[in-house]
Amino acid sequence: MSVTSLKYKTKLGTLAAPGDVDPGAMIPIATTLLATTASTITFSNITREYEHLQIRLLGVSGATYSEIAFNSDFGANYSWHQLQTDATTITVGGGASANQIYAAQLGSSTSVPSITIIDILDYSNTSKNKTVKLLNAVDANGSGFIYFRSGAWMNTNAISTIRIAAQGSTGTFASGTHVALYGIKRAGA
Amino acid sequence: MAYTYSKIATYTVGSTSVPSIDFVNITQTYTDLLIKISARTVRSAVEDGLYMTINGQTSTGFRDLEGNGSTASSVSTSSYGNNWVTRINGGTSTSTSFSNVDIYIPNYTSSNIKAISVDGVMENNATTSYMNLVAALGAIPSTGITSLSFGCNANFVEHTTFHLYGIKAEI
Repeated sequence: MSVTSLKYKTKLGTLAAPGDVDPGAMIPIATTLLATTASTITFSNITREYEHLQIRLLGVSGATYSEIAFNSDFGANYSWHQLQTDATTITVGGGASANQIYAAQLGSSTSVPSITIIDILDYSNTSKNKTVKLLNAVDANGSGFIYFRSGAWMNTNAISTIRIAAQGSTGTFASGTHVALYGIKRAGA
Repeated sequence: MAYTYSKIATYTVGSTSVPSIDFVNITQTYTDLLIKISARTVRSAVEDGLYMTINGQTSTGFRDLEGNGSTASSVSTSSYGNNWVTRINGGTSTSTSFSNVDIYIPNYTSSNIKAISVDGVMENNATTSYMNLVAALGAIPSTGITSLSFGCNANFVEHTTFHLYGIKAEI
């Protein structure tokens, strides 16, 4: 199949010159690719020019779980809930007035990566608490699990900093962990 | 991916709450549709139902996997009424908390029946809070989807937002 480079294609009739491609609504903001171990991964100085945020995490770790917190608030200002299956049973759980939101469940082995997509709507809207939704999966070739999780930061401040920590900062993410932060622009004008 | 993800329209509820939100004259120039919803209603309960009508027609069925903080259940949503798609924050959930819902509709310009994927959560600073994974089988219009209407059992409150995006398979 022949492939045409994106720079020679146009999306709108008003765009003609190479490079005049509409980048669409989903914009990469920052990426972290770990070359060495780290207990936390932080995105700082997040601007307010987008409507939503999405994080795509490939987690490589011997830890079992990770957590997410905003704007360096580690007080009891979060809630979380989850629906989980290991392909045999379905379980639920949750917590109120927690110190962080449970994020990606990790593979407990650096040979078992986990994948997670985290959506944060209206992250800069100062009239809303911030609600997080994530889908997370780990497959260990014979075992594995899927998590569907929600969480809230009970604060209406705009999110400017996101910290993802491995097992309460006592664990580590290993080399090869990849985290990408995207901004999603407001739909319409 | 980024190049195929396009903005179509946003509806933000103003200071007066509203019973429904409509997207009309949806162009047929994309491959899939994605609706991102941050919603809350005035219903006097922790949660409310979100309902979606396609081209003004009654949808035909939904299957739901739900967690509520204490139990998991799998139900046919016919018991919730036609067009139900997920739960969202009601008026007695934690104040200023809004749901986080994605509705994905692939191949929306087809005249075939529409398969719809919904993943939605509503947060509440308590044990009870709802999360839903829903497979939906939409209406069978003779044309592609040109309008979407969203409702609830009460009114949507101020700051509720519905964002409609178009996804292109290629550009």
